[in-house]
Amino acid sequence: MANLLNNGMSRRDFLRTTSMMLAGGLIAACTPSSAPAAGGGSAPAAEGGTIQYWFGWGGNYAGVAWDTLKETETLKGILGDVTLETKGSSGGEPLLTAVAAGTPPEGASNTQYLDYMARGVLVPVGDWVDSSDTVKQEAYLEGTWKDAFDREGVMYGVPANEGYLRYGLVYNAEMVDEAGLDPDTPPETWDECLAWHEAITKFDDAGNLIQVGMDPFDAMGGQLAIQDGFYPAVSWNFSWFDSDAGTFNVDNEMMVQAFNTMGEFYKIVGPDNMAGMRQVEGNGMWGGSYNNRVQAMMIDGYWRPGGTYISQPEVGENTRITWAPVPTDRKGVKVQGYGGHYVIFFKDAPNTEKMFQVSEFLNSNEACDIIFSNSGFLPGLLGYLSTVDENIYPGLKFYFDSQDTADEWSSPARCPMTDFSRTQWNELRESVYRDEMTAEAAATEFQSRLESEWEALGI
Amino acid sequence: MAALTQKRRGFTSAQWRDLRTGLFFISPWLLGFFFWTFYPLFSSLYYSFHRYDLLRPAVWVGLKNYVEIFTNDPTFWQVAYNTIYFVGFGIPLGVIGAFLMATLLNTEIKGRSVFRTIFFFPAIVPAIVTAMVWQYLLNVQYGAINAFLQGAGLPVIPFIANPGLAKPSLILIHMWAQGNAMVIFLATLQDVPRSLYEAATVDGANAWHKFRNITIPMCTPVILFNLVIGFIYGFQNFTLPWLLTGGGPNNATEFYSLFLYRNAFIFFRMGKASALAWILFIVIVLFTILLFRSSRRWVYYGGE
Amino acid sequence: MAIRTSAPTQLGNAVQERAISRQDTLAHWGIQFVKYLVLIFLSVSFILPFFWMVTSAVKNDAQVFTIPPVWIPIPAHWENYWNAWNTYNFNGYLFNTVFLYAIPLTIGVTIASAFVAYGFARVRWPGRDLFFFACVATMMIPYQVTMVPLFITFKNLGWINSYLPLVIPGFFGSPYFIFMLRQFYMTLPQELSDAARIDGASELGIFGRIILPLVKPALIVVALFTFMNAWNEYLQPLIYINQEALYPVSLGINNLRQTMAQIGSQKLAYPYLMSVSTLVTLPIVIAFFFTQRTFIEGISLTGLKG
Repeated sequence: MANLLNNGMSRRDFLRTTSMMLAGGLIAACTPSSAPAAGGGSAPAAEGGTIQYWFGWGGNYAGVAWDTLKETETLKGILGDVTLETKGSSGGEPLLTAVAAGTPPEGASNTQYLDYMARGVLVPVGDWVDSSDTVKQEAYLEGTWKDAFDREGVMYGVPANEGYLRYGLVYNAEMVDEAGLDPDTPPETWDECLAWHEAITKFDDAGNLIQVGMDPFDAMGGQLAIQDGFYPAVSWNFSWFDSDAGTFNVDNEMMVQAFNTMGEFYKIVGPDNMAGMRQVEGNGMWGGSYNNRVQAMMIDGYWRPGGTYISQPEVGENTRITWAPVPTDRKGVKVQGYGGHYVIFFKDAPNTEKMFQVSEFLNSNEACDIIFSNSGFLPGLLGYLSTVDENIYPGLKFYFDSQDTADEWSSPARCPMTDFSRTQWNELRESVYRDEMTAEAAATEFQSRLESEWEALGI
Repeated sequence: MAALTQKRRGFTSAQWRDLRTGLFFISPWLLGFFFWTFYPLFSSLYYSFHRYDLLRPAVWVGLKNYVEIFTNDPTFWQVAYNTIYFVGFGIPLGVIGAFLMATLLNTEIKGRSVFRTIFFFPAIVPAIVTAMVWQYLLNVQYGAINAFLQGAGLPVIPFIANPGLAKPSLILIHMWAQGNAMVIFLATLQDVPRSLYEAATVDGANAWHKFRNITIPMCTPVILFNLVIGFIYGFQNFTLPWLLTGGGPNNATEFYSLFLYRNAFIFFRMGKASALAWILFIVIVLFTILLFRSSRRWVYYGGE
Repeated sequence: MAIRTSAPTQLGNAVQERAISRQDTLAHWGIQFVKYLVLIFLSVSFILPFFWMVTSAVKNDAQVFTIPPVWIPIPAHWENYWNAWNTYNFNGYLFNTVFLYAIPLTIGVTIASAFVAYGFARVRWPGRDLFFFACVATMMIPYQVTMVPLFITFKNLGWINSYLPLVIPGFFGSPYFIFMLRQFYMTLPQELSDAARIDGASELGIFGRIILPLVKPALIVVALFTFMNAWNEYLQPLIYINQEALYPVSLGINNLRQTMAQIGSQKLAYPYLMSVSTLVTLPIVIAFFFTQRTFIEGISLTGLKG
């Protein structure tokens, strides 16, 4: 062993190794910095800087609609030598990490708006709006405008893209007819919906679920999000969150009924069957099983007629829409809701003012036309809505009519605890329809979870 | 061995030189340890005592996060149960499956390399692909496996749609993707000296005796290795359940790291997530120590 | 080194089996029959998901949403492969995965781990075992423990939206591979080093010129494992890479998947996903098929026996 000890490190060795390691480090350091070049043409146009706009939508909105928008002379004129990068399907964690990292996009839509508002990372848009010709209160539906403010009444959003009416019972008249029901006398209450659900739901000889009447938690029925509201609260007419006091009210008789009533749809089909139906790629997406003609009814907003018709015309032509269901003791009450999306601007982004101009453009008739014809989205802009042909997609007319005939209007609660609340609603409703918890216990649990999380957040 | 047995009372100059040489060689790891492990480990501890959402400055809350996790978060216990279930059943089953496949491949068969590739296959498929393929195969209505069962006149199994079956289904997929462990076992099996088997044959031992008394003991160190690696993976299992079931149905596959991730990056609860992470760390350390302790009784080291 | 291939052991195996067959030919063939039956059953169940993937890729929507499922779609829509790949910038994702992520990481991990493991295996120095234990122990730290502070560190370094957070730590060695390589270094005879030292070679010289060439098979295993890990990694890119232009393939697929899951969804969602999946999986399968001998040898040579 002793002779091993004679050879330590010579200086030459040391230098050689060090340079080797440095070289290795350089390779690593240089490679990623050349990354933008890989991004396919984003680098060359960078002289004027870039602005980024991220949104939670994918599909045609993110694709063809934005491709077309970027080709318009108006947008090109607004941007000048600035490059606009858009990124779809990016609502949740990528955005949070980017914001936390101090590298947020200029603008974002379809994300946890109020959670960001409550944490002081957004630019208040009051000054911009005051000097804007396009973004004016009188141009919008009452509820659309109201939604762009935080709990304290500070405006952080510019309504854009999507902001029309939220609730209707969407049904496929052909499937209803096949089940021997009359499509012209649609259900008004949950009980009537349940009867249709039972009649339409089909199993094959082997006991496979092949067709579902109604998944009450699909689309707008299952949401608990800022811009989409909370349908049980609309249907049973209670306020689940008091934004002034910061208190929750879900441990009540209405919530218990909602858990039971909506859960019943799952119980009679079998929770596993329903889960299986929804787990398939395609059926699992928002309204996907309706588009695929696997589900006959659901609660959804004004975008459904266009959304379905554009991708599946043969299903879309059978779409009919009526008032979303209410409990039996409220039979005849016509509920409708505001809601919708806006653009928020992040303080740490360098070029938010340019992004504001882009969001002004999104409110022009030119941009709205492109968005509507490609994705079926409508803004909450009175001026634009008056130009829309309400018969262009079967069923769309219902929402336009409901603007004058609805009895009860709702707006989403301003609760800056979006995803936690929704996750608990998902979990607890499943516990109820799987008979692991009574609806009463679930409502109590819901209340206590929301309260303790709220306290822990320190908002 | 001379250097080690030497009295440690003060280093000789030769020892100093060795120390320098040794430290020089391990210096990359040592630096990395401080940057990427030691520092984050303890700042994570720091954040676990704070209310922190990544966007606003951290606020000291003492033990609140820990207290909340243990006393006021029913989901945590469900998550702990799910994780222990997966680690307790899934990992040993995965190791046993890989071992048996390797044993089979190590016998006299033709086309070994083809079979070996087939069995190794799933281990190299990106998890996101695995998730999407199995999602369809295991589906109740559209699933190919259920269609087969039905064709054979058997009842349908609602695999990942049923809370009771979701975890076993994930274990099944885990066992399917054990190529790495299998390859390591196979390499070990091929290294077991033939002389041992030949001697046993002379003594009249049958195949089972040889398997029981030679193959298994010779493989115990690798079994331990694969178990340890498997457990570490099992506790941190994220991608597949996240993509395949998203934690459902009814939270049956909400594993620890999903829950942690959800808290950190979706619920804005970075402080609580750090506390969760530390609890997990302590559990893994205790668990591994326990495993190594017990291994003294069942692992056979040929060299000793 | 070359002597320790698996060939002799297979031979020994065959000799042993032949001995049995002489004793009882019928039983032997029975066993062989059962063995192949099991092997074929296993193979079919292992391949089935891939078969499903490849054939689903060439379906249209009607062929996807049928009960019972269609295994071989007629007609097959081969154009799906081309169309799906071009839905998004998958060429870009592929470039990112390979050149920005997998290759730099593989180089870093392999070099650094080989270097560090040498210090743990072939140099005797006081405190070595303690440090080695610490090194192995870090494997036990769940990624989630360090995830958040690391994220903050990388944020402060300005490394978000680059591959630096995913690649640079690799240049400091990976405990798993350090452990693996150390085991292998230990099996090399000490005389190799001793002879070189007598000739006046320095420790670095011994490492670079004598030991490294001998551990090539093991290094290939490390490189392949690292490459595969990078190829499959999902969580880290999800956190650190926010720009679509920088996405690796795994996030690209997820992007495709999420885009499909939206209102006004596209047709052919599932076939496209399966097309891209097939195209992404295929190269690795081929690579493994042709490297598996080296691969298995490498693992066998690392002597993971404890």
